[in-house]
Amino acid sequence: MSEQRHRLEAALAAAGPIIGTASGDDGAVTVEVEVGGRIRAVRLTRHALRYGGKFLADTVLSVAAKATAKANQRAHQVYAQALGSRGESYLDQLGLSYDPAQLADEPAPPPRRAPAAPGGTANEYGDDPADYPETWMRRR
Amino acid sequence: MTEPRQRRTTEQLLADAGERLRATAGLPGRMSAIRGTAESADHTVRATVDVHGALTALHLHDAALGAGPDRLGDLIVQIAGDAHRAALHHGAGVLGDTLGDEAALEALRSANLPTDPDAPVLPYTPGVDPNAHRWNVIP
Repeated sequence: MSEQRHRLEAALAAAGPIIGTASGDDGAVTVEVEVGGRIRAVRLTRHALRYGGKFLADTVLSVAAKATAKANQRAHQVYAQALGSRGESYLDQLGLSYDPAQLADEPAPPPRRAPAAPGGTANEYGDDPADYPETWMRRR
Repeated sequence: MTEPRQRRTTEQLLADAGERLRATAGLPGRMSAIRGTAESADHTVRATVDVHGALTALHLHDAALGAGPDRLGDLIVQIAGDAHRAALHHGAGVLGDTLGDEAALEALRSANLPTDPDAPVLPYTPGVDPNAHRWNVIP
């Protein structure tokens, strides 16, 4: 046990401070967090304020979640290095897990409608999914 | 006031151990459900965080944007920090309910939160309420 603790302390010392950083809204919002998600810094540009409080709050929230996933993933790497898979399950027990989907560098694509059925002719106009309405005008 | 505690029988000790295992099994779930919330003095910034300090909700009133990007960023960090301290306080209470007063005080100390030096630290026996003798039961 003490040997494992020693290995973990050595790995943590070698890794240095583990900090997750992420940006959103084209770089207008940057959030820096510690492992677990405690916020160290929120950096905003004037551009970040242009859509009002609600939009900014939602952006900070999603960027912080992404930064937290990065920090927690790094912690998982360090713990796994020192303790193997036990180190990772230990972090999961502490609630320091992460969603790999948060780690994609590209922003998540906007939700799309279901793609056109393969082989169907509904997609003849190319750009639009099959269930895209031909017109937004409604008959009453 | 303090009477000598009766020695517990083997059966009671085994039951204590079982009770302690049951209580600690639910601990991760109870800790992950903890939230702390804090608000700026003018009520324009409100943050909710979990026991690790991760943001779970953020409310920014449009009036908060008047502070400018730099001060607003710092204010979000400060309010989230206040919310985290509230969550840690709550977490220490949950730990104390399960593991006893000494564990709660240790959690507060390790989180650099103030502790009451005069707080009585009662010996912990699973399944036994140490404060039972203090109850003022209203008939």
